[in-house]
Amino acid sequence: MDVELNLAWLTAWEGFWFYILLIFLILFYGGIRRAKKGPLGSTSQSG
Amino acid sequence: MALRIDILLPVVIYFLIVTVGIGTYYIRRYGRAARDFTIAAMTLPWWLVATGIVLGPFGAGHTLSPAEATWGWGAAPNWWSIIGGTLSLTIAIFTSGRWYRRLGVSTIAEAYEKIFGLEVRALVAAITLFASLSIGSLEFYASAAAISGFTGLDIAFCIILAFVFFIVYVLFSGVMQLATVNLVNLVVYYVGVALALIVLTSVLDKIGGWKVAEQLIVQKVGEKGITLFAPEWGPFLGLVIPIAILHACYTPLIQGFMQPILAAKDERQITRGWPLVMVLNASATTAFVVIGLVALTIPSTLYGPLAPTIETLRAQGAAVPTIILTITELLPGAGALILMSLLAATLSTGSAFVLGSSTAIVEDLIPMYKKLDERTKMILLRAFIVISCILCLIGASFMPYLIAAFLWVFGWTVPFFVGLMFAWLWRRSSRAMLGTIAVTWIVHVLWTIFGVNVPVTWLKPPLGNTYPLIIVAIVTYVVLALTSRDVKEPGKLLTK
Repeated sequence: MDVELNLAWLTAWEGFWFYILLIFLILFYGGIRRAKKGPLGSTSQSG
Repeated sequence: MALRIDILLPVVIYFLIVTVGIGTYYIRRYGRAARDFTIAAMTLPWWLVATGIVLGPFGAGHTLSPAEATWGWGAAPNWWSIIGGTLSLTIAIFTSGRWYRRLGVSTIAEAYEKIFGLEVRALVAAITLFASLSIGSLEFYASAAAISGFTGLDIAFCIILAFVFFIVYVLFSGVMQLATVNLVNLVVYYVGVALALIVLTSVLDKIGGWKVAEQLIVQKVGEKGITLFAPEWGPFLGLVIPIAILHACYTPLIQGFMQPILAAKDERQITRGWPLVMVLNASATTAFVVIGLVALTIPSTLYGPLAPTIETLRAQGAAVPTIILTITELLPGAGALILMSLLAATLSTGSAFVLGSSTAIVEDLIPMYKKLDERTKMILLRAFIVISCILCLIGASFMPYLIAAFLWVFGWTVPFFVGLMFAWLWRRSSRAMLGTIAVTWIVHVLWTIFGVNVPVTWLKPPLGNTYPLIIVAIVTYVVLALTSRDVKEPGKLLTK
């Protein structure tokens, strides 16, 4: 019964937003790493 | 149930007049300058600050969510605004809000960067985006459930309809208009629920008055259905304390909620409207808690012992539409009015979240990778408004149990609040903050999955997550701040 409840709680809604959070974390972390390499806009690496 | 054109039509007309009408007026009068509302920072007088603070969190969390939660928790969900809303706003007004204002920042992420450094800023930005969109999807779902329940339209179709409403609302409302539209909606909300309560008392007379209703409510959910001070500890430990703690942690982290504070003319303007904020917020949920509780009596009178239980409805993801269905049985003639009130709350809050997250993506996230000119920014902003709405649409289609979903999202914000308090009052350490965020988030995920095995009811997820989260956050920060070498005193940065 416990296992059943476990899975029931980790519902689609929470799962969906958890993955979205992971994507945001990766994107912002990547952005910060780029920013740390040099001031934004001042070097060629910022596109 | 047949399609209720008499309810749907006035609501659509109201929606078009208020959003599209006010939106068009602003565009004609101010043109492009209307966009610059956020930049007109640090000029707001106290009464605009106060109404702005009240309006921010005023959505499904204050309306349908407590109404839905009454079917399991009795009257206790009324604490959502009485203690959750007022306590968190008081803390935000007198502590974090004033600190942000002293730092002179325009975003919350910027404030965290000044206090804890660049990495924490990235985490704040990510969690704010995630919280805005996920809460947006709850507002979205609540809007769809409300339209479906009141008009008899299929819920799947109503989720699409809510999608259209949100896109029109945000695209037509921009930033400056949103404040006016929201103010109109706040008035509509209070007038609507006041009239609904008047109709409710007359309907109660038909089923034998409040005394009979009281007996039926007690039969369904016990004594906790008719008192805020339940004789049992369950609602207090399982709902009220988590609501208070999680609200306090979540509120100061959300840009949309803090915007009026950041834009206040000076510090005095922030605290001056505090009594107004308290009164407006504390009274916000009561009408819907009463409606939810009285709706509890309807299945008994309509269907007798065969009435569906809240557990069955929740399992079907149908609690909210069913509650609304019973409300329409209960309040014939008041349907359009309550639907307008509900949509006034959910649309304004939801669209503020959608607009906020789209702006954050275009202003904060993308410039980290590529510099954008103004024209591209405007095009991308519109594109991301649509994308945000699509994400909310997907989230809404899972039809979550509102109050649980809200508090699960709030749980992610616990370490940020704990870190801010310690940094202000005791020791400031970037490493301690980062460590606290990591450990607390791991506990949040693990407790969400495995917490159901805990034998104590009020410790079960998602509401029960509150206790391990707050304890772990405090202990981790203290231990790391005592041992890390990068510790700074609260220092000149934070004290005036």
